[in-house]
Amino acid sequence: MLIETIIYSRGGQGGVTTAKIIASSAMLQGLFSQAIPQFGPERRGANVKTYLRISDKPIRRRSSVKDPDVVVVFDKKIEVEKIPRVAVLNSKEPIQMAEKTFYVDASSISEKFGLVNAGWAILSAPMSGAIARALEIDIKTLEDAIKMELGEKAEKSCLAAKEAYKVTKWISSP
Amino acid sequence: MQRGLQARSDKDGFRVKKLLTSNEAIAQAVKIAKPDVIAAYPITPQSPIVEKLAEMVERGELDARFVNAESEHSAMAIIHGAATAGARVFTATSSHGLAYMLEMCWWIAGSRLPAVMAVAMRSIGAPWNIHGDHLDIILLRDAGWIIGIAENAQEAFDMTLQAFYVSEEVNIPFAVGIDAFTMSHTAEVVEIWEPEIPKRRQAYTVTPGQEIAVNAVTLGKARMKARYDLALDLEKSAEVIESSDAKFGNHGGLVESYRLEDAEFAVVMAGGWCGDAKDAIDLLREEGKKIGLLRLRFLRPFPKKAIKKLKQEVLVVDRANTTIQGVLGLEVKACGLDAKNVVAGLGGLEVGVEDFYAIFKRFVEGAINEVEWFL
Repeated sequence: MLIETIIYSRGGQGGVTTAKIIASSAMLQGLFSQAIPQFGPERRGANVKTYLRISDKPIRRRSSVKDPDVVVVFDKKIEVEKIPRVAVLNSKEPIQMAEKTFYVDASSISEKFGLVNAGWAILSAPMSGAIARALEIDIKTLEDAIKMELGEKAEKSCLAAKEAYKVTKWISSP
Repeated sequence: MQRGLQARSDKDGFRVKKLLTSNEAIAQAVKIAKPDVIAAYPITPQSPIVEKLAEMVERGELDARFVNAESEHSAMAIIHGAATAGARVFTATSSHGLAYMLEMCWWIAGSRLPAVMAVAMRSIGAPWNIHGDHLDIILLRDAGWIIGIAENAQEAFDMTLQAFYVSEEVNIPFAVGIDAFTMSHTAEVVEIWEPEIPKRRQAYTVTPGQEIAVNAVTLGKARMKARYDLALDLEKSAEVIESSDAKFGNHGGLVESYRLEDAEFAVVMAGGWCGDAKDAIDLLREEGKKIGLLRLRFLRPFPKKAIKKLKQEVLVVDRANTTIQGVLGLEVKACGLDAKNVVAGLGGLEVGVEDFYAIFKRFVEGAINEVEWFL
């Protein structure tokens, strides 16, 4: 089993943190995982791709993900190159992107819990909640992983992730 | 995903699983080795190693003197001085930083002082490039250092701990190479554990009140003898690396053999991209192509014995060149092998599973030239 994911986000939205939270969740469930940030200039607002791999065997390859099983999109305006089987989308409204598209209004959830930095909603917590829903990671494991990643700052993020986990919906292609 | 597996993954004996980049894994290993002095100057992509260590010192988790040096040259000079006094020492650098400290790298090796340095292997300008290749660590090749190159964060962790042990056993400094970004900044599952490392030992120390002269001006004969002894002891360090391999993660000693037993074709490589190469080898194996990999874990001492044993057709894939040839290509040929040589992946140019599959397929079909650049 190898699940390859590309996370599309903008610099400052928490795409890399999200990959690490989900990778830690997989590790806590006895699996192997890998979170690969895009290597280049880190600028707020610029498009950022982060790769995430989860497997039941040690992961040896470390090149970029080219043919993802899952894409995660933090901003629906970002162009996605390949449409996979599963998509996880930050959106109020359902938008058909893949065979099965999970969607959640992550921006509103982050604002509700005060997860905002310099006017930018940090979406790692609610998007992690939505991804956990899509990948069938249980909420307790996700919370443990958020605490591992964020330490003392985890409380609000755990609440936001739990809410997103609860309200994430999905649509499938007809 | 099975919730039931959590107990097993949290703690397995004395091993704790953590999600770490190779930079973070090295910092964890250094903490366990308890150095007395760390001196460094920041440079991408090494900086997170010494940032983590500085945090550990600041929080009181690591009882070491952390010196923010004004340059890499000074950083190496500081650990040289501290090592002379008998301190366990560590530094880390990359690329231009290694180039800048190179003079002092020769001094510490020639002085036969144990020291450990992590090198997040990165391209050297010009042209400007922050991404990975092996051209920086190649600078150390003739300085008289032990040079290890890890494949993943687990090996980076284990090799760093082994580095303190081996370096202090043979009185030769030890560099641990990791690939820029694809290792230094990639988080993966690492088992953290705490092996026993003996107290700092070294051939000599210089302490106040002692009457000793070190590194006086020499004539040719003393220089010849010093360089000869260093070269000989560097060769002999292979025995210490091999005999302590089981204690430090069982990675295979100087080399790792992958699917070579019945292979008719052998690829020789080093570094993080060997993971992608192994996946490509598996694909070719499924097609019945008898190909395997000899991964060089050490550039110095050079694994001559394992290379000379290769009876297969050999292809060396290099991430550093000298002239039109690759550096490993040249050294493998110097062992008497008639090897093909591909130079690839300079400046972080990605060579993934699909690319290795294509290169290896041409190799087994006899279609690779003597020397090729994968542009």
